[in-house]
Amino acid sequence: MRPSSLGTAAAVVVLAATTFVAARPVGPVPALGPLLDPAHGIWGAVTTAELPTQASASVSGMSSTTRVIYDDRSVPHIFASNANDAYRALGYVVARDRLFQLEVQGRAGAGTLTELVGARALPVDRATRASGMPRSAEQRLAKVDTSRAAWKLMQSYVDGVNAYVGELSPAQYPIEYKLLGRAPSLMRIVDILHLLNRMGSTLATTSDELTHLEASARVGRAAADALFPVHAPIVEPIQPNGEGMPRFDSVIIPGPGAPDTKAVTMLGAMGRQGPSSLVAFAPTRSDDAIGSNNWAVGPSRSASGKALLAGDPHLELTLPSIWYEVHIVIADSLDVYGVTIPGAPGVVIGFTKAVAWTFTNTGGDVMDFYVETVDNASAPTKYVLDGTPKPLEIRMEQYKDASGKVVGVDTLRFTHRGPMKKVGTQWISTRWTVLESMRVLEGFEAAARAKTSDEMLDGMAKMYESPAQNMLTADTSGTIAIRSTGRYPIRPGDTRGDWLRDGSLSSSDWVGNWPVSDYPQAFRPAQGFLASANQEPFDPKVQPKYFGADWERPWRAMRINSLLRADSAVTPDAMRRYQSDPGSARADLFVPALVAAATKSAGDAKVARAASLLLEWDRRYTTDNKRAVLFEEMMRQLSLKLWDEFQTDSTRNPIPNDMMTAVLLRDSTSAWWDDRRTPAVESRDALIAQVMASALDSVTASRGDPALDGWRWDKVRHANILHLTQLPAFSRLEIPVQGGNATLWPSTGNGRHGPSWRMVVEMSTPRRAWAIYPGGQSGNPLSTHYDDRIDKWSHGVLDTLRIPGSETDLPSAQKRATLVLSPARGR
Amino acid sequence: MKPLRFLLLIVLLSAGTMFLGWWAVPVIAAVYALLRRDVTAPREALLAVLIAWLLLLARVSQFSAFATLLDRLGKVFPMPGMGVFILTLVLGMALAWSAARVVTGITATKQG
Repeated sequence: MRPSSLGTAAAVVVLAATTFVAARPVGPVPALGPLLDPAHGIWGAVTTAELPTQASASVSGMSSTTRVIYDDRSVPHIFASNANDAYRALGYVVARDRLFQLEVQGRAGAGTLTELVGARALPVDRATRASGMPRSAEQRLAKVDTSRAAWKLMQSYVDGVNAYVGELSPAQYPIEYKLLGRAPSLMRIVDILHLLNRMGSTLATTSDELTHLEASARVGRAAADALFPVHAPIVEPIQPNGEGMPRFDSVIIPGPGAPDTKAVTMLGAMGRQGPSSLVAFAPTRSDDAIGSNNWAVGPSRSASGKALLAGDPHLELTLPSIWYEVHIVIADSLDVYGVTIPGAPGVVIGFTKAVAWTFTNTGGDVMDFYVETVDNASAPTKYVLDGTPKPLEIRMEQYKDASGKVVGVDTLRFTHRGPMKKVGTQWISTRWTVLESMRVLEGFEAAARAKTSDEMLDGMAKMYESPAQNMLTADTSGTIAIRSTGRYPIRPGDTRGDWLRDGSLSSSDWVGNWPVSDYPQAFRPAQGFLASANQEPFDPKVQPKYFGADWERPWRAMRINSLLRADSAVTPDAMRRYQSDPGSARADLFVPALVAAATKSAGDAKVARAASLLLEWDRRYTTDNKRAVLFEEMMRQLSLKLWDEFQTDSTRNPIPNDMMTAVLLRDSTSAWWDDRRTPAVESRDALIAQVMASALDSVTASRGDPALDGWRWDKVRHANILHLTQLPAFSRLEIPVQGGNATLWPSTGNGRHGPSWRMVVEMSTPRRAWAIYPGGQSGNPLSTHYDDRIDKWSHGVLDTLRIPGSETDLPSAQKRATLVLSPARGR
Repeated sequence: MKPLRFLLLIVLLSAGTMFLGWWAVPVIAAVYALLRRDVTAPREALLAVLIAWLLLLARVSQFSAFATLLDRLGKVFPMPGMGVFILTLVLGMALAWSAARVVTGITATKQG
C-alpha cells in the first residue's frame, strides 16, 4: 500500500508545527521541547526536589575536605578547617538550595533582569540602573584591595556557587529556569555588591525632601513642617531616656496655610510624575510592615539570669524566603549560626558562642537631592558648580534579552554627587550613602568573630556603612547593647536633609560624617532591657540635631516597651509570645478617643451602635476577633476626611500619619478637623461621629451583620507570600495572621511584607535558640522543605535550633543528609 | 511488526531522549522509517515513543514530589496537571509520527 500524498503533506505540516513549538518560544510560552522533555524538562525537576542523603562533590580551590551535615530542619552545618573552605562550602550549599533566587537577586541589583525574563523587566532594570547602583558596584569592585581577607572570602563564596552550577546537567536545573527556557549563569563577585545595593535600596531610601515639597505646595511650609516633623511628638526612643514611659510632647499644628509658592513652582517644573520617578526604585512600602522589631533583656530582668535577645526583621515576604539558615564551624576559630542572604557571603543575623545580634532599620536620612543647573536642558553634557561648568559623566546603558538582542537603551548622567535625572524640566542629582559603602561584608565577618557585645558593635562601627541598622547585641557576660550603626552625613548650614538643595553650589555638599560617639546607642542600660522598632532613635531633648525625618510611628515601640516594663522575669517563651503579640498601642489610644467623641454626639443611634461595637473589642488583633475590621475602617475614613487638603490627583499624596492624628486629637477645634469638601464646618467630635457612622455602614454593607463571621479578622487580613516569579502556583496566599496595622506582627496593605525571620537566643552555656521564617530551606517548589515552616510561622511558633559544636554532637535522629566537599583534582 | 525490532525502537527512543534530548525523537523516527520502508513505520514510531516516554515518566513518577509537580503544573498552565502530562505524550507522538510519515511518503514517491 502506498502512502497518500495528502497524508504526507499533512505530516509535513504537523512536523513543521510541532518542531516549531518544540524548538522556539511562542510569546510567553517557552519552547515546549526542552520544557516537556520527559528526561530533562519540568518532569526531571522531581528528581532534585529532595537532597540525597549522601552526596559528594569536588570544589576547585578547596584546600581540605569539608563536611556538611543537614539536620532534620534541612539546615546545613558546615564543618571546615579554614575560612576559605567554609565560604566555598557556604556558596555551594546556598546554590544547591537557592540557585534561581541567587541569580534573580543579583540581576535585580545589576539591572539585568531582562536577560533572564525578557523585555517585561525593562522598567525595573531601567529604574535600577538610573539609581546608579550598578555603576557604583562596578566602581567599588575596581577599587577593592584584592589582598584583603574579605576579598578572598568573597572569591571563595563565588567559587563555591560556581562549582555547583558547573556540575549541573540541564535535567537538574531548577524548575524556574525550565519554565523560562533559560540556563543558570555563573556568579561574579560584583553580583555580591549588586545584592548589597539592592538591600540598601530597600532599607535606606529616604525621600523626606519630596514629602516636604509636596506638603508645602498644598498647605504651606509651616503646616508641612508641623505635620511631617523632624522629631516625633510621641517620644519612646531607642536610646533610653530614663523616663520609663512614652512622652507626648506638646506640639502646635498651624492650620492649613496658603501653598508655598516656591514649592508649587518646583513641583510644576518636576511634573505630575516627577517626585515618584526620583525614587522609582524604592520598594512599595505598606506602612510599618517593612519595619522591624528587636529587643534584648539583661540578666536582671530575665528568669534565667542570662541575657536574652529577640530578632524580628520585617521585609518583603517571598518564596523562597530572603533568608537561608546556616551554621558554620571552623575548629577553634569560628562557630556562627544564623541566617544569610543568598548571594551575600556570611551570616547577617545570628549568634556565636559568645554574642548574639540582630538588626532593625534605622531610617536615618542618608539620601539627598540637588537641583542642578545644566548647559543643555534636553541633553546636558555639563553641570554648573560654583559658576564653573563641570563635565558630566555619561554612561550608555544597553538592556538585552536572553538572546542578546538589545531591547532598550538609556543615556545616564552623573555629577560628582551621583546619578542625575531629568524630572519634568528639572535636572536633579542624588547623593546616597548606599552608593558609597565599601566594607559592609567585613563588618559581618568581624561580628562573627567578636567575643563581646562591645567588640561586635565597635567592629561594625569601623566597617559598616549602609543601610544603617539599629544593631542590638547580647552576650554571655550579660551585656546587652544597641547602636544605630551606619554612615550619617553632616550637611552644611541648618544641617537639614529634608529640603531640596541647590546643586550649583559646592557649599550644598555634605561636610562630613557623624562620629560614632554621637550615634544613638546604649550599653548595659539601667532599665535592664533595650528595644527598637524603627522609631526615632534619640529623645530630641537629649539629641536635637537633624538625624532624619522618616521615622516609623511609635506604636510598636510603645507596645514592646510596655510588655518589657511589665515583665521582670522574662523567659524565652515570653520573648516568642511578644513577637506575635496582638496588642496595639495605637488601638489603645484611639478607641477611647473615638468612643468619647461619639458620646458627645448623643442621639445618633448609628454612632452609638458603632461606639458600642467598638467597646466590645479587647483591642487585640487576634484572628477570631470581629471588631478590628470596624476600627480599621474608621481609621481609614478618618484619615481621608481629616487630611482632605492632601487628597489630590498627584501620584504621591503626602498624608500625615496617625501619630499626627493622635496629636491633633488634643485640639478639638483645629481647622484641620473641617472637611473642606462639605459646606458644614466640622469640629473634631462631629467629624469622628460622621466617620464612625459611615464606617459602620461600610463594613456592614461589605461583610454583613456584625455578629457574622465575615467580620472575623482572619477573613480580613492575610499574609501573601509570592514566589519570585509571581506565579501563584509557587506562592502561598491568604494566610491568616494575628496582627494588623502597627502591632508587633504588622500586617497592612497587600500583606506582602511582614516578619521575615523570628529569632530568640538565650546567651547561656550552651547557648539555646529558637527561630522560624515564613518559607523553607529549599528553593525548589516541589520540595517538602519549600514552604514547610509557613504554618508554624503563621501560628507564632518557633523551631528549636540544632546547634552541634561538632559533627558528632548531632544525634542521628536529627541528621537528614550529608554532603562531602573535596578539593578538586589537579590542584 | 516484529517484537524485537519494536523493542529496539523503544530502547533507542528512550536512550535518545535520555542522552540527547527531545529532538532525538523525530530524528530516530525518521531514520527508522527510512530503514523500515513500510507504511506501518509511522504508527510503530508513534506507539514506540508513547511507550518510551511513558517509561521515562514512570521513572520520575516514582519520586514523592511527582504529585506536587502535577498540582503545581495545574496552576501554572491553563489545564490540569494531568493535561500537561498528556500534552507531553502528544508532543512526543506528534514528533515521531510526523517525522516517520514524511520520510515514508518521500521514500514511497521515489520508489514509485
